[in-house]
Amino acid sequence: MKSLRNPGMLLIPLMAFLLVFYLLPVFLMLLRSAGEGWSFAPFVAAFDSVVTVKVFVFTVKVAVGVTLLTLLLAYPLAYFIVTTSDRMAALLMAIVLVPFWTSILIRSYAWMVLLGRKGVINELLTWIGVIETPIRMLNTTFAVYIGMIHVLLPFMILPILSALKGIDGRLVAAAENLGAGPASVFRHVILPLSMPGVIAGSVLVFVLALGFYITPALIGGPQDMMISMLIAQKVELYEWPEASAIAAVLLVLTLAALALVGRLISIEKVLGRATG
Amino acid sequence: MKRSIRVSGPITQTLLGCMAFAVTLFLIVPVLIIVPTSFSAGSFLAFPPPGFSLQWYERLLERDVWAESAWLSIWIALLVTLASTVLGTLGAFGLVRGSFWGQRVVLAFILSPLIIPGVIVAIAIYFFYAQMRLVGSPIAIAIAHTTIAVPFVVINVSASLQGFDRRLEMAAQNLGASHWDTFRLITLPIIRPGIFAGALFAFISSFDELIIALFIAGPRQVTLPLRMWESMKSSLDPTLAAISVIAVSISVALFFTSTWLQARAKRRTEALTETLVGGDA
Amino acid sequence: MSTPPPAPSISGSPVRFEGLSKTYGPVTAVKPMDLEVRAGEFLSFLGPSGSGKTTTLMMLAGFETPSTGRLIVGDTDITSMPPAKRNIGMVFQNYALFPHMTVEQNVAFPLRMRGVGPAEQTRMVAEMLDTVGLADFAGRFPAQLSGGQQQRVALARAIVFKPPVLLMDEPLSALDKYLRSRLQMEIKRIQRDLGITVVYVTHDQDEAMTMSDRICVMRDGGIAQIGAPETLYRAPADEFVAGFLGESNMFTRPLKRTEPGRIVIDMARDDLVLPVRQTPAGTAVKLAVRPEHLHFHPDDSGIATVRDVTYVGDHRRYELALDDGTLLVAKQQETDGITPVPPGARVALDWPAGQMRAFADGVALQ
Repeated sequence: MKSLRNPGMLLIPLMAFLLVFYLLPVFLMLLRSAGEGWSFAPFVAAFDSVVTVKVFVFTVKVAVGVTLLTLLLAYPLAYFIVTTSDRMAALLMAIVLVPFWTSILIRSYAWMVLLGRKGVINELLTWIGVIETPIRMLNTTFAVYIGMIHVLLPFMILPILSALKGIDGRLVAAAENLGAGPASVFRHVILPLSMPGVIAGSVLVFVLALGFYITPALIGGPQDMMISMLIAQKVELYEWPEASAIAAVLLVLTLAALALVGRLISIEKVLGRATG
Repeated sequence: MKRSIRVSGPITQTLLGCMAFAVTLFLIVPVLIIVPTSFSAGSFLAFPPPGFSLQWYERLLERDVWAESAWLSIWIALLVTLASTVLGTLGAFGLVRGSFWGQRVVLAFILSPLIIPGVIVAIAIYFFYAQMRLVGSPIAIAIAHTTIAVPFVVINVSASLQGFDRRLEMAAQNLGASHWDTFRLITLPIIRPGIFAGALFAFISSFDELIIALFIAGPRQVTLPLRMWESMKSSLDPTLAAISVIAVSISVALFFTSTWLQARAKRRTEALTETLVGGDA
Repeated sequence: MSTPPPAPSISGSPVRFEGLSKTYGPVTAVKPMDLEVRAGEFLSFLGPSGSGKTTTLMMLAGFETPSTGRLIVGDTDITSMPPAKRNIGMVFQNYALFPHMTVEQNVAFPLRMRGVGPAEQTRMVAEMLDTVGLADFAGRFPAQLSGGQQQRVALARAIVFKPPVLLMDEPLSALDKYLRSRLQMEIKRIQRDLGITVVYVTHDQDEAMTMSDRICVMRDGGIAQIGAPETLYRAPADEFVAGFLGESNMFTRPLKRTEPGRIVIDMARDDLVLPVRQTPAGTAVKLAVRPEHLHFHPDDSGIATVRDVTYVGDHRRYELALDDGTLLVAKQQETDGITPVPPGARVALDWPAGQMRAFADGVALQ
């Protein structure tokens, strides 16, 4: 680059763009949620309804559930990738990353094909003779969980993998030399040292789960309404201030979860690994 | 060689392997299942499969609306790629090379569109555009998409800039290269894989984007994801499978190209460091 | 390796530092220094890390702006000239070879920047690669070369455009010991053939001793001493230089008396008389003696005891303890008729008055 006095100046075009087309709109939306004369009436209107409260409770419940289930599936896989042969690890990584870059829409469609009344699983089970009549799987909360876990799994696997890869193998050798058995080495060395990855992954998955829209809208049932869907519904009904109020609460919830761990930056590492 | 952290015995490792196999199956099967669906002779996927047919691909070609949507999405994505690559590359230089107060906050702000729920970004932009009377133009969609595409460019270019040895630029200048020549002949070629990867993901992120388009596209801007969404809400037509197979193939091909390019660039620099650290043969 | 063809000749330029200094805010990296590097001279900056040697080199290359003073190469004041215009060759630590260019393209780069025609470029690059013995590697990428080969490419690239001055920043620190000594000789040969002025930075005293015409020992951003390797080794100006260059036994002894032009030091059993230029004020002096100069012989009434003997190949290394606890190291050449003195034996020391240096307050007295 030219010998700029401060190369930080190169950020100006990007920052100007984001300020006008991103920060300003979000700010105006927040302003709208405050209502006329800072009455905060939209908040009152939005949260006075049983539906809104129910939707919030359901969303948080799903987000927590999805986070825990994802962690349960991701940790062993990440550990296996780190400890297996290089070729196997490369293959598994490719499989983890390919769906990551397939659109959520297409993946939701795939689950519709799999889980539907006339979907692959029902057809297969009927053909084998395990079931007589198709089981209802699509448009259930179960489907929402499956679809969300499928989308969010890589976001949990990558940070854990990166933490596990960062552990110095000599520490394990040292612990073994000092008399620790496999279980103690795992409990006292590997697990604590991989905790940053677990925490980063969990926060990321939880936060992303809070804002899910496409997957629950397509493969969930009418009872599976999440916050984002409620916001969209309010916008369609032209209840913009209420939509803004709910969005404001969702935004605060998201930022609070991130601030709690102070790891907003770690997403750079996670996605950097995924893309690079 | 790096020492492994493996502590599991053969039995545990086998169990772990089975689990890993199951999880990866869970990840990949849904993506793969659309392939046979798209070649189905029936209107639904049935077992046993009713036979092989290209009817859904043919239907895709017959119906102009799909092609129109595809072109619109490609156009928007190209605009987004151009804008976000330029803005993001400059921004990455500013972030990595600059020193100013609040650098971390700026980085967090630039990356935030990736974590903040899509609906929030979408409706904020929708309200804003509605006030500015911008709703219903492809340019408007491209501008909004640039917001969510730019972080990918910043992440990738920053990563290659951080791995870039500034002494190469000093060497070039010492050998007589002007600032512009140094950038053109040394810096740019070396970080090019990073820029390329960023541009690629910027393209894909716009091409696949639904939520923002859902709110701000007018009735005449039906992007590909929008048309798929509409179609999905009405029926499980395997035309969708056909279009998905095409889209996934393109994404996967681009993904592997980028991975390959980055791996090649990495091999070069890593081998260089290794010989330096490892001494002479 | 077959005899390499002689390198094309370059006439080196003198380099003058006039009151050159560098401060970063309140921190002084380089104190104002005056120094003249003669045309065609090989001068090394030697010092521990943080002594200011690299900062000095970076000012010379143009990557650091001096806080005060001027830099003159030949007749040209280059103090505020941008790096690209200085026409000074430089070999960077870890070489900074362009990873995306072949060896040939790397070496041709400075010629390309100077608008040399393609045919001439090819000729000069080929000639240069011949000189450094890499003619067969022109098409390779740096990553496909060994560390020593990369070093040679870096050298070729830095001198192909015939700069009058060549800077080298710890160019051999990444290589193993054997290769290092081979390349030291090779660099020295090319430098002599070319007649180029070399300013070399290293923290390795052996390297500086082997290669340099003069060494400039740096400490805390200033010049501690400058001179030919032999001068620095035999007559260090202060305690720091004595300790930094080669191995020295340093110990403090009480002064018996001072006389004009000489001092008498109490060496336990006998007295040691050293001629001095100035008489110290205190009651004790610090003495330095090199292990190879310290001789001894078994003597039950001697003043030292052998603590430990180590066989090192060409010599034996003795650790001798004086009765006050002072430990001294002596080297004994390994020749046929010699029987090693066993640990525990008492020995008498023969002080080599001519080879001993005395310091007071860190400064040499002789």
